[in-house]
Amino acid sequence: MSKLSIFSELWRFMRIRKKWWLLPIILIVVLLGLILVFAQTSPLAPFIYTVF
Amino acid sequence: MNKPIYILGLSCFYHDSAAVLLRDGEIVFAAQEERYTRKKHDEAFPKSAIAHALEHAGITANDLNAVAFYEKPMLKFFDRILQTTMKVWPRGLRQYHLAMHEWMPKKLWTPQIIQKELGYKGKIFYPAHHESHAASAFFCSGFPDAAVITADGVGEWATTTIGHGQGKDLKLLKEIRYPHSLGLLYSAITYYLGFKVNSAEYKVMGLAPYGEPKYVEQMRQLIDLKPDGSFALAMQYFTYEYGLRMTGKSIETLFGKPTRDPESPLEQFHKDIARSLQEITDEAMLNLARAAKQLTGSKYLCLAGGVALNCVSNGKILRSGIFEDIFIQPASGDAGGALGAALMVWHKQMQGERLPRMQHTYLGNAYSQEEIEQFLKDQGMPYDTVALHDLPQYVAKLLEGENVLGWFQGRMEFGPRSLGNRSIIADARNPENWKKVNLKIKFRESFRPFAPTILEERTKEYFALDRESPYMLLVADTLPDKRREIPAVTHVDSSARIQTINRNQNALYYDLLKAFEASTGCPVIINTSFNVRGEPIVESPKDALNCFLHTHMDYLVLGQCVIDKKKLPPEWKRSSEEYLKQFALD
Amino acid sequence: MHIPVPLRRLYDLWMRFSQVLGRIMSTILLTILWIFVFGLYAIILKCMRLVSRQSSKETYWIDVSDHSTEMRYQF
Repeated sequence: MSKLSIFSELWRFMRIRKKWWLLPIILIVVLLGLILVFAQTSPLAPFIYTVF
Repeated sequence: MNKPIYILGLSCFYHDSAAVLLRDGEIVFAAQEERYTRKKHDEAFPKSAIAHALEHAGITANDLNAVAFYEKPMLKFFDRILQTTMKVWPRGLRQYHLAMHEWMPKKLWTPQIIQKELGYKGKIFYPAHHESHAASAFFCSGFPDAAVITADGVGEWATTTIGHGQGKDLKLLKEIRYPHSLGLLYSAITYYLGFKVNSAEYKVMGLAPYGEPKYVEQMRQLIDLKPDGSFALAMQYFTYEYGLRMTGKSIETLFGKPTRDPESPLEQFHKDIARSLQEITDEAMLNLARAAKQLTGSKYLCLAGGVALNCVSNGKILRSGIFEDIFIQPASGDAGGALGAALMVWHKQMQGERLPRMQHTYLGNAYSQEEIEQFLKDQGMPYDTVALHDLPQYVAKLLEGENVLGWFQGRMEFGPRSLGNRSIIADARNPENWKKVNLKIKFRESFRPFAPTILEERTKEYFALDRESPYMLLVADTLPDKRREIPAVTHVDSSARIQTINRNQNALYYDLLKAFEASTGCPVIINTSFNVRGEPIVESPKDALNCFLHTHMDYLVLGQCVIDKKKLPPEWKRSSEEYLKQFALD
Repeated sequence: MHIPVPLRRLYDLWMRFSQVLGRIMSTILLTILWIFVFGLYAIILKCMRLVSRQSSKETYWIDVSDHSTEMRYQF
């Protein structure tokens, strides 16, 4: 299962639990999480950080 | 012939990881990861427990029909944790960082981790945390219809629930939400008393009988208990929503004394606080019991969740007579969640049939006599072999001689208690044994009591208990005329946390007790878990031998092999300090 | 990823540097997230709470009897 399936689960979470107001913050947290996790294992990390 | 249906239940990433394997709804294997990794309360993904479970059943992950995880991680994180972070802002930065550090790389990816570690591509189910607790109690109780109460620290949002189990169905009816929690209240006071949170709450329960309920009125300022069973905590006294500690200055002001330093001497004040806390907990649980009766009208009650390990409250609920009978899940903590999750899938998802009441918790690994003998030979350890049918009398004689024995038989217990397969046993009639076992074998606090095992048929002669208690989850008083006979298991307030045993539950252990009774007339012995303080209960012959050599136990009975400490050549002498150093104080 | 032997030492050092940088960066980024995004949500929530009145409670129970018992999802 790829990590990207989290987005479809998140979408379902929104639809079923109807917590739309949390969507922005959840998206940001997940995106940041993916970046940080990806960066941890990749030699490209220092270049990614320079983007920030 | 139908292929059997295998369900694997898992709990991990918070505390007490475990794996449970069901075949057609029956538990074929259950064990906590800590027993294999030797790290107490290990919360890591339970690789070892899973491997042993699959091996025991002779299957691979591909044979699994379903995997059940004991809670809903996304709900926990994206709903409760994020909202709590917002609620306490601008406090809680440290806690936020710690949480993110746990969730982002690990806990958010539970399905991916399960798939990768197991090599499993099938369906994964996620019952709610308290549904898992409730299921672990109701579906193991054998009751066709029962009220179910769960109470613990916190699941996703719920901390306390009342539900109704009927046949294959189980529904939660009412809940109380974080931050209001009985488990967290108990943990907060555990912290205030200088003990380790999520680990030593039961010590506070053991301390209570030494104190007076002087602080109950102050406790009422901490928690508003409503007669309908609901309650709310006065959050100004607790810091766990945003801080890394449970309580702060305000609770010190309330009780007038500072938080106790861990390992510092215990004073009467601490004992009184523990006692007062227990009174409040009893009241809260009794209120819950009454509310559950009202809501469901059921004759029976099931209990689960960490707070259900408070056997003093359990005993009070039983004696109140609100319910005709109660069943408490032996693995009430989060390890039991793995069991409950699997059962939820079997009964609710797959409409699987109910099974009769859980008869025992001997659900882990066993080691054959050949394996044990081979191990001892490889170690070069001298031992005697006793024929199986002579073993009860042989060991009973050793017990009579005021010896303390490590007793290792059969399959390992599931849950926090040792019930006769991984136990340290001794004569309950000898008052010296209390001190000896506490200080020279378990190396733990001297106030802690020991629990008795008694032949089921003679329970009423010795204790104010009119029914079985096979899992050591009920506390009752030792009868006045028997208190002097069994001082080592009678607590300072004459109470005892009882294990009753009948031959169907554990034939060898029962026979041992019978043999002891035959020569002494006494049907009771001390049964405490086979480990030192801070160590998980021993799992393998190697763990058992290690523990035996590094403590002052007199004999080790591994299967049919008996090792006499006195007969060991001097090169086997070991130091306790070295051994104890590897275990963090619990 | 295959690293030729002479470059291996360099690779290890680079990865270690990357990891340290990663820890620092993630702490900084997470803190920024906390200050601005969580802060924004927190302030809005606090304003909303000031507006709505909390009635005194007769019971603390929350009725969940009509809640779904769906187990297929992580929520």
